[in-house]
Amino acid sequence: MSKIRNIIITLLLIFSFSKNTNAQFISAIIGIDGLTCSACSFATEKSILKLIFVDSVHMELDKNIATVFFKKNTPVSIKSLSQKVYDAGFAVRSIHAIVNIEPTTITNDYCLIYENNLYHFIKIEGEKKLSGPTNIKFIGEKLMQKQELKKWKLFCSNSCKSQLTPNIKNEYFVTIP
Amino acid sequence: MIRKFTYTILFFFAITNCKSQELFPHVDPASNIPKGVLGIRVVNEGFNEVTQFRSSQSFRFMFGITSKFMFTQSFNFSNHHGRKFPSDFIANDGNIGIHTHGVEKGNKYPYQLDNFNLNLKYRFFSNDGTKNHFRMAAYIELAGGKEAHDEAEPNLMGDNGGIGAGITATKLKNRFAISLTAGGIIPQSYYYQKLDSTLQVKYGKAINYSLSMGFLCLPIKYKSYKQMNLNVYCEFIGKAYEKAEVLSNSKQILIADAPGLEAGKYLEIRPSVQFIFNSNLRIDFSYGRPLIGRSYTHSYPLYYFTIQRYFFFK
Repeated sequence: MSKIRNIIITLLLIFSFSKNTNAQFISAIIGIDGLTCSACSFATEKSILKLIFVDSVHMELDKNIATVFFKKNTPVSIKSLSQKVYDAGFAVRSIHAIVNIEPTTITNDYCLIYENNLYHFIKIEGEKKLSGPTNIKFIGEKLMQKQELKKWKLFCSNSCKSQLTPNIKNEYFVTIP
Repeated sequence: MIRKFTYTILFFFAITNCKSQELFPHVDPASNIPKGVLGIRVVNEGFNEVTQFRSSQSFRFMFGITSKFMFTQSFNFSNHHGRKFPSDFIANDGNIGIHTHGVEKGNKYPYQLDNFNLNLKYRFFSNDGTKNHFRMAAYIELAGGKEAHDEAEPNLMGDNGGIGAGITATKLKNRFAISLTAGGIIPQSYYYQKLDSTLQVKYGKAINYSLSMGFLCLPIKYKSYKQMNLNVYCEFIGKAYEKAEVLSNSKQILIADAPGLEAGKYLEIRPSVQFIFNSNLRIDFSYGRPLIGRSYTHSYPLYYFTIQRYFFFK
């Protein structure tokens, strides 16, 4: 009996801090390090375009920023997106995604499950209401510069780990800049 | 000439908002070709040797296996040598006995496949920043060929079979790109047997070294992939090599008055101009001449024309 009660409490805890929220990735802005020539940018763009969920890419050649537009109703993998930059021989400086989120209130360590990925919101002060197109900054290895990642490590807690089921492909640490 | 070229580079460097450029025409940087991309490069080299115009073509197929690992397969053709040494390569006169004076320059040879060269490169260090990076890579190359190469200096991109390996470090910071390469070459010997006589030529082991610098001069500001890029480069390329040994019927013979078969070292300067169209088609024009010592595998001046294109697959 106590076992059932524990399971119910655990489930209640999970549902109180996480939600399968309806959201849609619209685009991503990737700052790319190491790019020095238009031929390098061209190769990087071609590499990103190989992803099936990518609709188009716009490269700002002078700033080394790629804006990636996603196809509608196609699952997006930020990890694969980052890997394509590395495949081209360069490094990710930063990744911001514009995500259309249904009205949701988040707090620090809020866990959002979407398209079998877990998005763990960190460094959120108080309550934050998200609605419509939202800028989300990704934090992690190959998602930002190594030196910047060191500063963020402090905020990356294990509080969403309990929700990592076999269906969850990746856990991403994210924040609202 | 060299002073004029140096001033020209400094002039470009001073007046334009140059960014660095590392697509060196002669020595590859530590950076690799992107994963899954095929690059095809044709390098044409030409120089006059006495009455002959020596021409060589290197057809290079480059492929990015991963972002850190790439290979280049080259097929090298030229009219530099024959398959056999001329009959007067080994001479015997009463005063000095069996000896060689080397091979007379200006002989006519057929245009043919010299060798193939397989180069594997691994980028083992990368520190990328905004418009700057420092990268290091190691390479190993394997070449196969049976040319009757008549100089001590080994050349795995044409004249010789053998193995080579080395390290490249490329630093790119704001307006300046610099790349250093150092490596070693262990060439394969030439061996020929006819009836009961044999001829073996053992080429010298060598170390190769280079310093490459590059500047992007146009466009001043990147706006589109269609803008033509104009890059200027200055590369210093050289080798230091041991003397050759010539063995007739397994006995070492005297090398007399044949500087090309002696040990040597040299450094060449190779300035280049590069045009890139549609951020893909690359055309380089280069010129080479000696700065310190000289190479006996070619005459001077050297002229190069290189064309390269990347092919992207879905």
